[in-house]
Amino acid sequence: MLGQEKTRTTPVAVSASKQRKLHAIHALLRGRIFVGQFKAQGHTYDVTFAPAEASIAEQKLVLRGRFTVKPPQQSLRSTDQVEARLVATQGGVGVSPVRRQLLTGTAQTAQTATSDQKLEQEGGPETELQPGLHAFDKPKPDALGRPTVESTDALGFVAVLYFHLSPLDGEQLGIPFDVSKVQLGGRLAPTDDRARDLQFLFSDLVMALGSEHPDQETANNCAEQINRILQE
Amino acid sequence: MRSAKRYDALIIGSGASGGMAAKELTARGFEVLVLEAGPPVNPTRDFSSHTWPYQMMYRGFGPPGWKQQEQWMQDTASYYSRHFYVKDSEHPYTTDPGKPFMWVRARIVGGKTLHWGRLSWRLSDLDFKAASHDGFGDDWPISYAEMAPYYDRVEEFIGVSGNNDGLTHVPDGKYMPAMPMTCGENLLRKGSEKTGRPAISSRVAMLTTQPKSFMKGRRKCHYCGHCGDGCDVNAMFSSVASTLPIAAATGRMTLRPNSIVRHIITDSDTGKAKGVAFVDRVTHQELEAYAKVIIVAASTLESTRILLNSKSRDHSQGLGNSSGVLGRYLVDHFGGIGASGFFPVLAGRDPVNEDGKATGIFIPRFRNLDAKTKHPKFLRGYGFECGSATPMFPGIARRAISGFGPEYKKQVRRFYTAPVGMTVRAAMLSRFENYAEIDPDGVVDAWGVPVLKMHIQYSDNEREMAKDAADTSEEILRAAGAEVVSTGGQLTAPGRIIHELGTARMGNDPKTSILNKFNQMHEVKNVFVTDGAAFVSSANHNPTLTILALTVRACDYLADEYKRGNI
Repeated sequence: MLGQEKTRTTPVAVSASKQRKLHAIHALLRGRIFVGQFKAQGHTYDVTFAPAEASIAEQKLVLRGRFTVKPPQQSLRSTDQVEARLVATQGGVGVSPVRRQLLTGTAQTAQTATSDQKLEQEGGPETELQPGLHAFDKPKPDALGRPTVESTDALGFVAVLYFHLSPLDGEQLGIPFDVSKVQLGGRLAPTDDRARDLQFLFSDLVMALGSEHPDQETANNCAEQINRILQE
Repeated sequence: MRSAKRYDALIIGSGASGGMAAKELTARGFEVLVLEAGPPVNPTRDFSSHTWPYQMMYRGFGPPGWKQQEQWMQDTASYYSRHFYVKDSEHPYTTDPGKPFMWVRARIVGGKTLHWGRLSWRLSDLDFKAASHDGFGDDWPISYAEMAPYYDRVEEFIGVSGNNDGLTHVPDGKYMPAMPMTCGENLLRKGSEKTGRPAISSRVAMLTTQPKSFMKGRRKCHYCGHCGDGCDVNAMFSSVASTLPIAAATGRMTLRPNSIVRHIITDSDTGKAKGVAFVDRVTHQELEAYAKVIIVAASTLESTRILLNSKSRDHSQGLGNSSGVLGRYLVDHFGGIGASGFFPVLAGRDPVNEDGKATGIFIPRFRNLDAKTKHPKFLRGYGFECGSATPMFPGIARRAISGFGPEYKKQVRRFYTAPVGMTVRAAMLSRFENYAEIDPDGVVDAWGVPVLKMHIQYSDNEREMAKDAADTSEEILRAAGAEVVSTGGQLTAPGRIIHELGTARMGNDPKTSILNKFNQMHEVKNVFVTDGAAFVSSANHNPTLTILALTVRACDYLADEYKRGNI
């Protein structure tokens, strides 16, 4: 085109092939367990990460627990004491976790009241709620009478926790990739009360440690309550 | 194995800007490679605008809880159109605690044009020269007079319906007939005019008359009302319906879907870009492609992500970013504030088929136009997107009517012919401290490409504007004779309106901008960024028409410079 001759015709170049890396796994928190899968070479690998212990190290949440894989046409394989170190989060927008129950008692009380939670979910993003508000209530303005911002500041919560997992052994787990540096994206989209409680606690812990003035006491309390749920 | 073919131009992205660039450049004889990160689209299989709710599981609402599983699903996507969007899980991004950003992305051939809102407004000099008007921020390096011919070209090509309303801050254009207002919209228009604020038909990229000869494969809108689910008849403008087929017909476009660009490759000897490194979405194969010119049109934040990831010895902060401005001045519009209710005069009337109209009416900006309209507490302004129609699933049944049983049904039947709603679309000030960067903690996507971390918050200016919008929307509804059911609301979280703009802005000064006035990088002359990243400020209007016009203008310039041997 434009009077210039093309001398070569291969459309794209191919780099030398290396062992494929597994970069990231997505999982949803179901109860106390992150449940996910990844696809590779036409196969689906089901994955779970079941944390048994939570702690705080270097101002970051660390979970430790069992990592399990179901390779295609093989039995379950697992490894214990896998460390998931929280490196970053994605803030949630929309339906926020229900905090009311935990503010008035222990996590166990959350299992009783779900009707308001359903109302909140039906309310949807156009009627984004502040914690404790009924679905038909109006959001409260700020001190200057100005509308607040959806899911922001005190209304904020965590939607995804991004963890770096300690190095895994692909051969042991039946995964034919380099799994030495895998990221676990744990999405908090609770459909059960235990996951709702954990979303609330993870959110408060992240907010406590990530704010301009970290609140170690709140973070420690959250970690304690998370451990209580993980060890039930 | 190294490649070989060197294309004249390589375009990253096949959405509004990428598709238009492909059309413009192939028309000028360029041989073009278009890399699209997502899969191909098959309208027969993937579009469902003519699928009835009863043909869908859960009547098209999806199984309980499905919207919570991915961020993007919570608002924009319907169960019909969910496959047009990417999953956050495969395409992560990160935010600061308590400062969320909703990043809605559509990695698929055609991008967000498959389901965009289609509102097509010109910006005026009130927007291009906003800084001169009120002293905040920077002017664009271009004026309305320079843009007007390109708006003309784009409107005539994509087909925009609307009226010439004679408002200088919402410039008129080349329109097909506007879609008629509904009864409720006419009531609202009259009420708004009583308060001194004109209300006009929304201008939308929908064909309301027979298509012109070059609009092959497109049909006049037949008001089925499911535009966001993929338009089966191509009445709405999309890349898939318009630009890409025309580019393909030249025989000079190669479109490669499933191609996720990692970074742009530069040649340290020439200082120019020579190609891109990308990974196949499905096979994970690492690939490269080469071209004389690179057009980055991957959408505002994806484009900036690619540039930030394109670090080299000569570009240690990302491609063309010695100024440190790349990623800065991130804005969105905000919504979420408004009022809704119903017109008693329309309650109980015979039902009419109004749910297929593809748009509503608009109350353009009325604050800070001049000294008389200056607001004491905020700069810039906002407009209202409004509607009054009888939809298939009336929100008023859920939000304003309580109870159950026969009486509830009776009330729903009575009021579903009468709802009215107004929602703000407001400008956000472009501020240096709102930005995107490559996540400093090493978060990557499923292909190992480093992701963005967003840092964005509204200022007092937006909050004051929101307060004013809440009060004003109620005033207008009451003036129109409506019974007001709800007012106020919350500002939408940044990103939710899907008008993310800025981060690689244009300007005359390379120390404070990334691009020149023709969308060309100051520092790398054969790279152009033609999507919303180029915006200097947001105005309060939907940006796509301006993105398309900027793209055409950039391609004109590019082709001329190419011929002269300057690129």
